[in-house]
Amino acid sequence: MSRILFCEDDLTIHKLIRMALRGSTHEVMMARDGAEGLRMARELRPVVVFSDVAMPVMNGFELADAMRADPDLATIPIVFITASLQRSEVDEALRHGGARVIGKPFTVAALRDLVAEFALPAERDSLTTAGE
Amino acid sequence: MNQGDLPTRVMLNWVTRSPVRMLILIAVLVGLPVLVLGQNLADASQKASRDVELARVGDGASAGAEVVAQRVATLVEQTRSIAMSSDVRASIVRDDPAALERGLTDILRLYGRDARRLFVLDGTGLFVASAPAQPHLRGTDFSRTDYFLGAATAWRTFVSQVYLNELFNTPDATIAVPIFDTDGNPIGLLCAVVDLSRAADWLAALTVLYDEIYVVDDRGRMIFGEGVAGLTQLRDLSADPNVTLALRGWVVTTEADDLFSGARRFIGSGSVTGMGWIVFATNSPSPSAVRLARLTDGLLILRLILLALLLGGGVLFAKTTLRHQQDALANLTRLNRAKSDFVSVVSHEFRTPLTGIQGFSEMIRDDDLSAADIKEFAADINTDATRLSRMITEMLDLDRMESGKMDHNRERVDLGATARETAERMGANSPQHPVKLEFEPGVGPIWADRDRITQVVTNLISNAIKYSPDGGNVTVGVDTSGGMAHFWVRDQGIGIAPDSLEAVFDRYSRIATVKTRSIQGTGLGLPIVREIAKAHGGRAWAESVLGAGSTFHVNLPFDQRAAA
Repeated sequence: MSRILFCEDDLTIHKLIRMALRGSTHEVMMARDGAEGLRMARELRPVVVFSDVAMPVMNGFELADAMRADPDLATIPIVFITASLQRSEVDEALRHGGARVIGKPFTVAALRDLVAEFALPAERDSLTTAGE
Repeated sequence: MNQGDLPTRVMLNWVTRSPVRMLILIAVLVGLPVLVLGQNLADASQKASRDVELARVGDGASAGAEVVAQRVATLVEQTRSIAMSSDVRASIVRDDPAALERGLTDILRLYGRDARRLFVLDGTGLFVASAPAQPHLRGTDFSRTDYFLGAATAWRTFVSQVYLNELFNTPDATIAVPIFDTDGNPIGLLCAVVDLSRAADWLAALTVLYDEIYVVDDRGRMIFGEGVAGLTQLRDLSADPNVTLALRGWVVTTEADDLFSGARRFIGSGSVTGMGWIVFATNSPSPSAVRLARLTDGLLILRLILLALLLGGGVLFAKTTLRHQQDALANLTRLNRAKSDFVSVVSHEFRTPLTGIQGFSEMIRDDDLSAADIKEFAADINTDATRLSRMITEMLDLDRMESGKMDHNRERVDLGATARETAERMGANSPQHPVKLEFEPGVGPIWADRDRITQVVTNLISNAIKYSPDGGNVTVGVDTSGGMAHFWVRDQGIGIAPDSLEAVFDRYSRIATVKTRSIQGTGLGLPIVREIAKAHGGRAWAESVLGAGSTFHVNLPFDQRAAA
């Protein structure tokens, strides 16, 4: 089981994510903006952060920068969820250390695949660690 | 500037926008051809008149020269015939000066006023006799005079240089004619002293036709003349280019400054045959010619002014057009960027409800769900679809309002009641934002479309809630201000920078800060409020303190029929 943190300001999308992932074994956490996301990341150490780009208080790019600046969080992969898949915004997302960028509207299947992709290695790591 | 604009149309538009520019253009378009024509006519006319005047002075000068030549020739002929008379010869041969004097005195009368004196020199140049009689000069040597040398060298008739007679202060010339004895041997000279100051009379007939007639001798000295201002005898005029030209044999007809009066004159020259003298005739330009010249000059100046105007207008037009084009381009660029920002904001806003619709419907299709879940997800899909539909309606509404195609069903509307109803409903849905009411009693009804007024209230309150992400009071008020119904909404939200207070009402320029980028909605709420206020004859505006909240105002005219 892995902890996965979502940062997203739209409550309908919160619900969609929660419903899409309720069958998984992962612990899904929700933050409503970047600042809340950063606090939760520090406290709960998720294996991956999915973040919207446009959010109040602190946006996704600012969150990514803050995480990269924090040695405890610097290695956590970030997947950006953005409404704009324009080249410039995708480039900017990658520049801010995004491991992947997905656009809205995204399919539930794609979301589940991404979660599986980023959560599994962590499970493997934890298994390896446990096995030692 | 439209795409189809041709440069000429742009120019015409530019000109017709200003009455002054129009007048100038008309003046130039009409005036220039007329002026060119007029000036050419005047030029031709002036040239013709000048040619006539030049021909006249030329004719006058040659006529004068002929008169002078004839008169001199007559005097010479007269003197020669006297010299050949036997009386004179006999008196010389007899060496009888007294008889000679008597004879000369009789003969002198024949010359009238032309000759001042007659005298006889002997073959060696010694004075013999004269009339009037001057016995004291008898025997005086005149052999060095130019007339003795001129006449006695080859014993022929000779006219002396003109000289100033100091006694009478007149220009005189001496005609010397040889006297021969019966065998044909020269025995002396008969000399007639001609008073050239009298010679001006010769030209009297011509002076009626000319301003000045004057005669210059072969050394360029003024001998005599008529109508000449400040006449100085034997004044040296050889430095004058026209005199020089004439003395070199040219016939001068020209326009020049007069030697004496300094005024502009037509000048013509004529050569006196056999004397080397030149007669000059001058005339001032006729008054009509002067007028014509003035007209020509005036026309030229006018033409230059019009050309300068045309040129100035062209430069101004070019500068203005360039500036307009730069402005238009800057405007287009700004608008283009605003539009693309708008499209990006709108597409962002559309994608969020679409995510819900797509995701929930996908789960209904693919997942094994309970009936309750399916029902719940369908409700979520419905909510997002409604949200999407509202956004589309807002966009279309604003477009119709901006293009004036929105219909309004007007009726008497109680602004206070409408605002209260809407405010209370919205306050109930947003517990984080308590809605307070500050309604002034007795605010009269307005003449308005009830649905649109509700839209104004809804948009302003939801705007206040949206831009107060941390909660806070939203105060809604209705009162009378400046003779109009006044509705306002105050929040304690993030506020608006002073330079953005107008921009928030612009459909394309929702303040794009990091904070507000995330705020949901098409950003069309406030532009719609402004359009509705405008359509009702009112106005919408905002006041704000950054970080402390904003107040949005709308004023709307009262129902006029109610007031009456």
